[in-house]
Amino acid sequence: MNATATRTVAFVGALCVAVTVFSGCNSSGSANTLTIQADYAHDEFAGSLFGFFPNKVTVKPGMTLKFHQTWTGEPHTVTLGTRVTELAAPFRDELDGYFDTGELGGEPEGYEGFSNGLPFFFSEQGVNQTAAQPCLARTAAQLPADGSACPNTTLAPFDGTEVYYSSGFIPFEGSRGNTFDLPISSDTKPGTYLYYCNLHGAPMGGEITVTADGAASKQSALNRQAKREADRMAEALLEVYRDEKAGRAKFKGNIAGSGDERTADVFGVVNEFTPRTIRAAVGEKVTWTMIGHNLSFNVPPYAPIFIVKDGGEVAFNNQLDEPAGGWPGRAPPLSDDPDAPPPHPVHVEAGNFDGSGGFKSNGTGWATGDTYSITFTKKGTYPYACIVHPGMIGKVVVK
Amino acid sequence: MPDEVSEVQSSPAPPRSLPISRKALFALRAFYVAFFLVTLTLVSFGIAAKVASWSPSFHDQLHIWGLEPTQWGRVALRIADSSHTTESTPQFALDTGFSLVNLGLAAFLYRIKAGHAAAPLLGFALMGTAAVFNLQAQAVYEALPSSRFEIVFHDGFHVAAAFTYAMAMVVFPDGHLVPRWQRVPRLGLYAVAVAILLIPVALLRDAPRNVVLVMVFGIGVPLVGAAAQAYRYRRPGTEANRQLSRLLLIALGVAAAIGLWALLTGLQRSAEPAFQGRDVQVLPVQLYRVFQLALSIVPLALFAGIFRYRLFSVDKLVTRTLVYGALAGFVSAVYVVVVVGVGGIILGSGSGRANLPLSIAATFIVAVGFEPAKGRMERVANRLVYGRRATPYEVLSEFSTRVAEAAATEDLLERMAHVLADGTGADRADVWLAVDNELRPAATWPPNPTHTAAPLPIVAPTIPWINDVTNAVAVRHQGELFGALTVTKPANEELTTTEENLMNDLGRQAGLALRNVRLTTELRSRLEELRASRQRIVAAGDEERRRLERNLHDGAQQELVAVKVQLAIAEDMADELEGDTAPLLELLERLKGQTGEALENLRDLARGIYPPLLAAEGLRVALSAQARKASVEIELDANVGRFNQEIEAAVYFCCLEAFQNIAKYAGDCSVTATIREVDEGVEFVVEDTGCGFDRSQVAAGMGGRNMADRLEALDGTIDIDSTPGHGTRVRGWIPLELKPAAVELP
Repeated sequence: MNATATRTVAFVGALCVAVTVFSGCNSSGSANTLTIQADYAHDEFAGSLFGFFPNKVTVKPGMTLKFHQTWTGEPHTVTLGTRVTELAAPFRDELDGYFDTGELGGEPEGYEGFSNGLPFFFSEQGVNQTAAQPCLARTAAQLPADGSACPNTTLAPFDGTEVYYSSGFIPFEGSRGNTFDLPISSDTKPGTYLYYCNLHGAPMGGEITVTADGAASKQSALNRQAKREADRMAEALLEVYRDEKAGRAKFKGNIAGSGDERTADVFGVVNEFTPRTIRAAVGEKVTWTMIGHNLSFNVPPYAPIFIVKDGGEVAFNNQLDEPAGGWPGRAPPLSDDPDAPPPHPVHVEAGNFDGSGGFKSNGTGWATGDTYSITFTKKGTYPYACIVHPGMIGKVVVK
Repeated sequence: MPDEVSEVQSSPAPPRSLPISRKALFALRAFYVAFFLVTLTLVSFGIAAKVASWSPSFHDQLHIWGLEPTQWGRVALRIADSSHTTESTPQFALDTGFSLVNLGLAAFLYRIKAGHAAAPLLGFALMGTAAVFNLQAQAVYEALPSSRFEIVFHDGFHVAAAFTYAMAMVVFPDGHLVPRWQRVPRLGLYAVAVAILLIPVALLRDAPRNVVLVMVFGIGVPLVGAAAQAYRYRRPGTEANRQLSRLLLIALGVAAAIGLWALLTGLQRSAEPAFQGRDVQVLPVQLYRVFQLALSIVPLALFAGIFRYRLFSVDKLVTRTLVYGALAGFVSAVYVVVVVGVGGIILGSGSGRANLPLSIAATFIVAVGFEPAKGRMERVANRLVYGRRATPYEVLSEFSTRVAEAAATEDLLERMAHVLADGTGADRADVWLAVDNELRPAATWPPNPTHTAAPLPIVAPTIPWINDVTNAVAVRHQGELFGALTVTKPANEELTTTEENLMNDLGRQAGLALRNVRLTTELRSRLEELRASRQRIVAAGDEERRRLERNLHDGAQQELVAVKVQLAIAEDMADELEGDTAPLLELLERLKGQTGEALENLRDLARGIYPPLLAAEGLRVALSAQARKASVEIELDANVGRFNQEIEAAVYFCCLEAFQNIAKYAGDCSVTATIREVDEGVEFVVEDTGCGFDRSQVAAGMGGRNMADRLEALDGTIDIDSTPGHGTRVRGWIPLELKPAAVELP
């Protein structure tokens, strides 16, 4: 082999070796860490499964629990503490039952006290910094009630005595990249510790059992159990989604979102436009049945709904703000009066769209069955998405 | 006892083959294998995704593995996720087939011996093609947003593959970089080429990364390669290389054209744009199919060129693969036919137990038919791969046969050269003979009578340096140098190991043959000398005789004639005298008579030496005169014309000798003598019906020996056949034209 080829090959080889050596793997499978999935991206549909998979794990003091979040658009937290455990006591059995079977009845007794007694992600002002930022409160005094950030936002290993211990909003690090590490202190007392996501509520939760003498869970067993629980939750969702794709579901035509009575009790959701590609003619009105979500054309590249500012404040991502004057096609406001006749189904005629400019149907306030219509005036392919959910995309091909 | 073929001269290759250290070679091979394994792994991911789409349990397992936070978990998750958007099965088969064929070809090229630069580069290129243009594997990669490591590794791999592909297309087939400029301007040109390659990257900024990769690979590489091959085609070089360059130029041109068309028609937009950072799971099938097509042309063209021009010695590998593949097919076919087919028909389907005797029968058939089938398939494979060229061993065995049967005939050397040229695929092969301390060209293939090399002096015990040949092999027999074999291959081509071995083996075999040829040559020259000397002797003898005859005629005979005349005058004078002149007249009469007799004797003598009648009138007249004078009755049939002096003399004296022998020994016989032209020569037959003689009793005597000498000096033949009581037959034949000494060994 002559010098030319040798040089070429040596260069290529050096390149590859350098890549391998200096990039390194991102594996972190050490014997001291166990990984729990927060949320789950099913591979047959874009959607969110509100849960931790598996929801039960056994660790020994000194180990670390790594919560690995698949970003589906929904923000999550991992929140524990004595206050959580105390307030959940009234319905603990039902919760356990849900963890084991995946069957959710209605709201259990004592849940309202639970919700009210703990910081909730949102407040009237917007984002509740107590809940949205990391918080380590060893005493009740360290847990503000006014929605401001906790005095102590730096976390230490969890030892079970904290009043409130929360990860806060697990920041977006790219799809399937969010992680939150929960080190279990070596002097944690053996016992079972409840945790939950303070945005989505107690059903999105789990139990950490700390044992001194027994064995910790094995990762492979955790993975198998995780898959089982995820499949269990997704079953009903899949059934409805498949029906929708086949045109057999409750709502016909173009659907934004997914779901009907069968999925009402499932703590997860399919975030899809069905069908993904809509073919229409110029001047033809295209109508979607809205099951939540929004339709956004010409929106900026995907960005998560929340950002963490310098200083730690968690805020809405202003990239997703509407321009002054709003976007066309805003839905009428919901009535607060529960006795007023239901304003739904609402049918919004958004008018003509020639592909220029931004265009977004308002995302809040839709109730199942409302419709939204656009008339396309120009030939072309118009991709659109739901601004919140990254996997929720579709396109309209207008000829 | 193997003859020594001690020294081999290889002409120094053009200075492209710098010595490569063993360590570097080992590193190269290790890297080749690693690259191969990486490519195979990537392709297998695609296969795994398809399998997961068929097997729910495998798919679930992949998801479970996918929950691992390790790199393997990411891989498993990718495979599991992409299993829901796999291609249709025929498309998948196409992709996988494309990749596996490219990988197979790359595996072949691994076996190329170090020394051909283009082969390993081409192998890398094929492996890169296999990975990049496998849509299913690409989909697996795209199923997840990639970590930095994954991006660098994956894209780096593809960039490396594209780069080596481009290099392979540039340096093919001889390993040089083109153009042959100084280093700095050449690097400048390469920088410009890279810049040009980046244009499509810029144009495609909005497209997904894999689409950009595909387009750059699929357009840029053919363009660069086509430019390089166009340059090569227009430069002088060997015909084979130019044809290869032309072939590749066409293939690359077509591939580049297809790619450019795809770019211009915006085919890349058929790939769903990565919509603003969101995951897209749509496979750009059309785009990939187009580029797979474009990039199949190149390896197809290359391999057509390789088999046509014998560029890489993959021949043995290919023949072996063909043979074993065909054998595997044969065995499988037998089993299928016997066990399944016959079993199905005779015993009905589903008869499990009865399959045992059928399996035994199938095994028996395979065992019996294996060797013949293998032999047949080897012949077919050889014919496919080598075409009309023989395999090396066929060449050797053919050569041995020729050497054995052709001993030292005229065209042995030419046949040797022919076999040598065919066996090594050379443009020209020469056989040299070492004669008289000179190495002389003895035969060339293809025959070229106008251009023969000059003899070269042999100074050392080794063969001298021979210019303008690719390889030279000395031919020795029992230590002595008898000649050399040389081959000239197209420029820049070297002999493969197989061909070199073949030359050495031919050299060994040729030792004996060349020795025989030399002996024959020497023998022939001796024979020539011998014949020349015999002719000289005979001619000298004849010349002497003629001289003698002249002298007699001019000298003694003339004087006697004068005496006779004087005597006649004396007789007349005596007549006029008176008295008793009777005793005087009687005496004068007697004197005249004696003089006449003496004259007659002298004439006879002269005639015996060299009859003037022969010189003047030819064989017919001279022999008739002798026949009349003979004591036995001779019937002469000599209706022939004139021939040259030597031939006529030879025939005349032989016939005379025969007549004399008959007169001496034959007793009362009748004789026939026949002279005629036959077989481009003169034949005389003298036969008598008399008592004959026993040849063994009577020594051949000077007569028979003389006849033989005369005739053989003229390349003639003589045959004396005599039986006591039955007569003698003397037959002689002289060719009209002397041919050069032909040597026939018994």
